[in-house]
Amino acid sequence: MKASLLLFITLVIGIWLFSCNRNSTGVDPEPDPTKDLHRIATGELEKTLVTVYSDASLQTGYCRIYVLLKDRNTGKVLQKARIQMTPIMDMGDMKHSAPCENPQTGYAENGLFPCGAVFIMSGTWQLEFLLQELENGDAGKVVVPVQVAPANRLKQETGSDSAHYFLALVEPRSPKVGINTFEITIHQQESMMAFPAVTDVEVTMEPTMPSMGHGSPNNEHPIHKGKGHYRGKVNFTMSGAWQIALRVSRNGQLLLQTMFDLQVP
Amino acid sequence: MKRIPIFEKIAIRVSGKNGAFCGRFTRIGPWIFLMVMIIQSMVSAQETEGVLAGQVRDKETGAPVPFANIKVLGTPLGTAGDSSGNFWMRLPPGRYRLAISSLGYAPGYVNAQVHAMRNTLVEIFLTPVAIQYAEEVVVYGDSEARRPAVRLNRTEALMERMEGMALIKRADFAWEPSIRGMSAAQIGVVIDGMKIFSACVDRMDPVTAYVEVENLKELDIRKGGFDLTLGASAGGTVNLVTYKPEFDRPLLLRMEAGVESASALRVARGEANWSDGTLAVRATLSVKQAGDFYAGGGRRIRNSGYRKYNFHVGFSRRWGTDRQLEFSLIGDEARDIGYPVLLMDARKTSSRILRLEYFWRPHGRDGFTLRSKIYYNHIRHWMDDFQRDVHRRTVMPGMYMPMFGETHTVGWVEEVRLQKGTHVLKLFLDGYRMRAFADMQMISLDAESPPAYLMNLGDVVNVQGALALDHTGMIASRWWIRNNVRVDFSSRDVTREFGRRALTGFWEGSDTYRRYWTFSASTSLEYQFSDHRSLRFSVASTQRMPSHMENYGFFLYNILDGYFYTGNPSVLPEWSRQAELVFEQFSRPLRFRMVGFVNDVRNYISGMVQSKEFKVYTNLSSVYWLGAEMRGEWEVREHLATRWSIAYTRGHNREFKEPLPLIPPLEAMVSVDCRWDKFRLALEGRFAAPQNRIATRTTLEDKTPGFVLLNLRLQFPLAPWLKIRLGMENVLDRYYHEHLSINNLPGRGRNMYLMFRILFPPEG
Repeated sequence: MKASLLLFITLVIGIWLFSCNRNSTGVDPEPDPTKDLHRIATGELEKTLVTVYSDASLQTGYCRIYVLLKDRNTGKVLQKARIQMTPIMDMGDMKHSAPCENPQTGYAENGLFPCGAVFIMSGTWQLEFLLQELENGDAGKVVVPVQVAPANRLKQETGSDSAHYFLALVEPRSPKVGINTFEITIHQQESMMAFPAVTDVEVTMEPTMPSMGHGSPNNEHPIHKGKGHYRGKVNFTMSGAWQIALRVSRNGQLLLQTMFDLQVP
Repeated sequence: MKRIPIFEKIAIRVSGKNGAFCGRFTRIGPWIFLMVMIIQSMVSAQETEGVLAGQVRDKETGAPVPFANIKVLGTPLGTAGDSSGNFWMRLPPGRYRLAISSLGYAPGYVNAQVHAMRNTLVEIFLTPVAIQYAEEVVVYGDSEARRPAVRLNRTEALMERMEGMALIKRADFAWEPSIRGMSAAQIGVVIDGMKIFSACVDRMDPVTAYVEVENLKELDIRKGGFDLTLGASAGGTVNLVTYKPEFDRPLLLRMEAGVESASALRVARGEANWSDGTLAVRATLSVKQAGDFYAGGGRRIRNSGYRKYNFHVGFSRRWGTDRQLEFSLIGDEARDIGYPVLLMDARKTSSRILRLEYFWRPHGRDGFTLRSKIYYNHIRHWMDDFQRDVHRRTVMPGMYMPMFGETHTVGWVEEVRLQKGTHVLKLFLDGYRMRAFADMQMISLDAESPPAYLMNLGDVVNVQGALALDHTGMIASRWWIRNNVRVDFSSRDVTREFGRRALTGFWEGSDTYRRYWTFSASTSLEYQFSDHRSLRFSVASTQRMPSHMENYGFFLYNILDGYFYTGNPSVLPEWSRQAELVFEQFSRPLRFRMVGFVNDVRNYISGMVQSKEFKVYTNLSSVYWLGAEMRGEWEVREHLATRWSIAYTRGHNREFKEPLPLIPPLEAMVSVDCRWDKFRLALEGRFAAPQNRIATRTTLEDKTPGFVLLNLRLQFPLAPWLKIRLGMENVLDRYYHEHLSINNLPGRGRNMYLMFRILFPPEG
């Protein structure tokens, strides 16, 4: 009896130890690149279905936008195209654009063409996509309307050089207690339609809790990473309301100062 | 009379290969070798000892005095009586003087001649006393276990009377002990050997608060790192030994009620003990309520009152005299404790401390005892500043900061004792798992500002285990040796993601999980010039692991320097090397003891400024303490005795080239104790010199002027069932504060107390 019991226990333990887990066999299905994205608009060319996604609902400030191109006949996801996006705000008597970013290459990344825009005001915007050299030979322009909600992630400041600058908070989108990536974009307004990225400034950052009267250690000032993006690190030592003070200088001369408010849950 | 077991040879086989630990633990090798040699010497010891046995009885009633402590003066040897007052021990042939002590009795002394291979029986009668003299009841080595000296109203007041001990005071409640200038994680505070961790991250709930004076049987204080049986610490250990149910008290009831003037304290205590001989039950309950206390000169210290309830229930079952099972539960609740010099008050504290212990001393196995203990405790602490004017506060003004903390500890201790002749070997296995959590809300007075939140301790889990060996024995005529070896292991981490993220904000990229191994050892060598004089030299090398707060604490406000402290998972254990020289004279009527010590600590854990307002725990290069202590007793006449003590400690921080903080100044105490029949009178004087050696670079410490205090105590029976206790503390009504009082919290002014104690059955 004892021997049988021992054998049974040994078998159970052996099966448990050497059995495979749920993920160790089988073929993983192709991951859907749009799974966690919001579909914000669709459009059509002659042979191509154009779907526009964003990683969150559109708000004033910096938004990541993704374009998915599918051949209407075959349903195949197109991997090659040249895309140029232009956001347009039609205010009746005038139009203006906003800072935007287009795909760096003519190839999709994981099936999607990444773009970006800094919506400088809320309301209805038109996203113009000029599509060329598509893999299926198609080409054309698609214009889709999108709604942009107001948010407090964008600052418009006038610099000491009298130019107008837009500073948009890219990260953290969902701030957490501890170390977070801190990223902003800086663009200068040259005209109603031209917003070039600012790449030659120095940025210092200081997070504080106004209600507590203290800041936090181990922050890293943002440095330029390309296309007007400045990236550093911010440490939120506790949950609550934080302010991130920014000082932007050029060649050692203070250009502008601004501040972002964040609520850390 | 207890049956004397027949001598039985104990065979201990120990592998001679001690190289198993070589490599990683190169320091262990010599110690393992030493222990092997000691064990082998025990096995080969000649069986030429005799047996000294006896019974301790009450001089007035003839009833046995249970659990008396018996010390062989001039030796590190001793034993404890059983529940029937019986005791026995093996000793080499010779003439010995025994010191016998038990709570409620004056210490007794008796001479005994031990012959080889023969039994010597002694009968000892102890005189019951009301005011008890401070008496050392050293059982082994250099631990200093003293019973309450004079019946006082608080446990902490008993510690304050011992040389080398000081108390860090944050309120008129729950004072934190300091040994030779070391405190917090540098010393251990345990109850009946159980590890208990404070729940308050601001150290407002020291473990000493949980044992009320009616439950305190002994104050077992082990200074320095020489005794490693209760833990490896640089500074020492305070073990609060509680009363257990008594089998020889069929029914006992005691009630006490009284008042104190300085804080309008009202106290009521009750104690009951019942036993049928094999089962014993003991229960106590105390209720205390105090208002604001008055410092010297009639200055009222506002917001310093409190309420406190404490109960202790114990059950014991014994089988014959060789087996006993004990269960005890301590419950302590306190409410609305005012901390006049801190930012916050404690709103509520709650603790539950459970212990189950089994003791086995088998017949026929000479010198072998086994003690197994499992325990669990849950400590909780709530504090807030809702009653404060936070508008005008300099630290974090304009907001309320309610805080909560709790610790859970479950542990197990296994103690095996072997005795062979004059050699005693104790083996300890000590393990526990502790979980600590603390958090804090910050509620702004500005209604539009959302509250902030943080975790001071994000569910820190520490699993720790230790193996300790303690050997005492005679190595030659008049020469005694004691060796302690201890290995500790700890595995610890922060388990809540929120807490871990906050912490790694200071230590980005570092893993919070930590594992420690520490090794500690000590050796004492004692030479006895005569039966009445001895000289002992001890050395120790101990490693003290960082506390869970030093590893993982977050946003801990230190009122000493005004910084917020953050734990450091990478901090290394402190390494202490210390030495002590003790000269002792036991003869009557003059007895005294002189001690000199030095303690050099490397990897000293302290705060390092990281940014404005923030410090992180880190290892400094080194610090040291050195000092001297002396205490004595002169029995002038049969009814008159004087006692005195003096202590001085000096601490120095080599890194910052300044004195260490919280070092008590030169302190002395003198008392004159008189007794006529059942009338007792004690006059005490306490002197503290100014402390001008202060830490100005690392803390905001300031100089402290000296002071002199006088106390007068009187005790007498009104009837066999009623005793009166009254006294006056700080007779001169001095306004003073102690150097270790946080933010110069003043001491109590003139305090008169009056206590009535009802006894059943009546005494005498």
